[in-house]
Amino acid sequence: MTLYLHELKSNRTSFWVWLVSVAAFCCGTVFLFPMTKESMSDLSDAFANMGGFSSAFGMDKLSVATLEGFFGTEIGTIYALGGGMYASLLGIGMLAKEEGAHTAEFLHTLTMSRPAIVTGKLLASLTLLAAFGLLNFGAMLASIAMVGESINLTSLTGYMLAQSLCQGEIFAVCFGISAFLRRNNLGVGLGLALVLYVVDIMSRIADETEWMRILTPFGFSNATDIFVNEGKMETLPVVIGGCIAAAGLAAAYAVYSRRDIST
Amino acid sequence: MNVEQAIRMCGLSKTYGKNRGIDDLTFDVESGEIFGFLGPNGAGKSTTIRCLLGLIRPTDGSGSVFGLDIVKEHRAVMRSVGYLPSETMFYPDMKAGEVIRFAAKVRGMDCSAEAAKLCERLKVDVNKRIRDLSLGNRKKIAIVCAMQHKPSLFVFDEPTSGLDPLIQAEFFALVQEYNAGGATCFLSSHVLPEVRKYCGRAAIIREGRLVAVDSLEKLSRTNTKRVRLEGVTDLALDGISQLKKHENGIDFVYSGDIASLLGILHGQPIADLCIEEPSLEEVFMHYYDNSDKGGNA
Repeated sequence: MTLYLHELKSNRTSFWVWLVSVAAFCCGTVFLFPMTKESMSDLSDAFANMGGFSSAFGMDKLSVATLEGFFGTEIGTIYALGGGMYASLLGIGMLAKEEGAHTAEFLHTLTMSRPAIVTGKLLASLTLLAAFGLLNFGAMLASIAMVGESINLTSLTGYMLAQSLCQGEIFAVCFGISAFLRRNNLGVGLGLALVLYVVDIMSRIADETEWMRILTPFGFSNATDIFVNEGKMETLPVVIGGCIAAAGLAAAYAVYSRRDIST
Repeated sequence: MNVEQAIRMCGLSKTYGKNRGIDDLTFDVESGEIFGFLGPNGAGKSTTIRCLLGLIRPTDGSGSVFGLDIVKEHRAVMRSVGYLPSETMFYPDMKAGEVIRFAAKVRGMDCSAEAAKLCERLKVDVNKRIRDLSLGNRKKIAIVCAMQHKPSLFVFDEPTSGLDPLIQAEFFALVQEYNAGGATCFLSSHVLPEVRKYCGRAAIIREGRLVAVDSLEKLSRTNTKRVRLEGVTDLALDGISQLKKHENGIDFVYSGDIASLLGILHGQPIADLCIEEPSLEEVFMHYYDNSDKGGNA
């Protein structure tokens, strides 16, 4: 519990910076919608007929002239990228930062076992990710209400839940990688999140690359897919994502519990 | 559980790939003693300590603290240990007092009274943030963290580096007080006067291997002699080390058969001869000496 609270406290600054930044971008984009929806209705057909580009961003499935369509193509992209990057940075540094900051010797010579240290850090991270999702959800609902629009609440809830699962998977993989690292390597975390996002984009451009969608959590949490399916996710990619996340967490426990700690 | 030995090492070894760490260390530290652990830089002192404290896993051999296995029972071992590392770093955004409370909370103990006493004696400003503190002031916090839970075993790695002389004296006063209360102290140090003053026994490690372990009195009373010759300017004999030439002669440390020395001195133009016990520093330098001759005295 002590380490859990310590991690919540020590991560609070980066949490608020990411939360405010992502929420501001998302809510700001919601505020733009009333001003753009008239012009968007004229462009909607054009956006839907741009081939692979339209497919990549889901503009062939939803009209950008509706809030659902605007959310799926614009706001969903911002939130997916922002949330994915935050989750990756949180995960990649969580275990490795102790050695990078030379605090590992202090922490590991108290009375906590290595698995207890991993658990404390994991629970703190999951708490931060859950708070990140809930507060962003609240901010989006508030901004939609403020501009006098309405949105399918089931779809939005399903999307935010899918995004939380996506963030959880990215975090778990980065957390597992963190157990191997001896210092906080932000590039690895950010790079992984961006690669997974690009893999999702590529999987939507052509039929030949569609199989790649199963490799990335951005696949099952894509905003347009979820809004088209009224909040439902595909089961198989979620199960595969869960297995990948479990493997990441198992690696974190197995590696961190046994490896030599540098000082 | 045999608690006669605070620390027991049986063939403790650690290698890093092809690189040596420590090799086949076997010795005991008795309960209640202040035990010195000596060796030059890179000898393996910190590696030994890090094996004992579970930061690294031994590649061979075993070790125990108060009968508890250092690998399998790490958490129980750490309950009875207070560790002061040579270089201390804490979470930079925390205040000194927060670090001290954090260490106590992780141990599940209320150490506030002992911590307050230690902070007062060591003059720790608990309201300063770690990032604003010098090495010496961070070390004082580390001392409080190592001592506040009144452990049965102290493990100190170069404890006085970075501390001013007044705080060094206060630190050793505290060590002696805890030791009088029954605590054991494992003191790894380069500072020979510290070891000579406070330790009853010591181990000497060189290139990862144990070269001697005994009481300081016996370690000093070896067949190593300090020899001073007047009238002789050079001498070649196995067992001579630390040879120094001066205006009218030479002096050196000799470890070997005294009859061989007297034999080679016979017929030399000796104006004066003095053979005496070497100082503790000279004995340790002899052990540290990176030659095959060392370590057999």
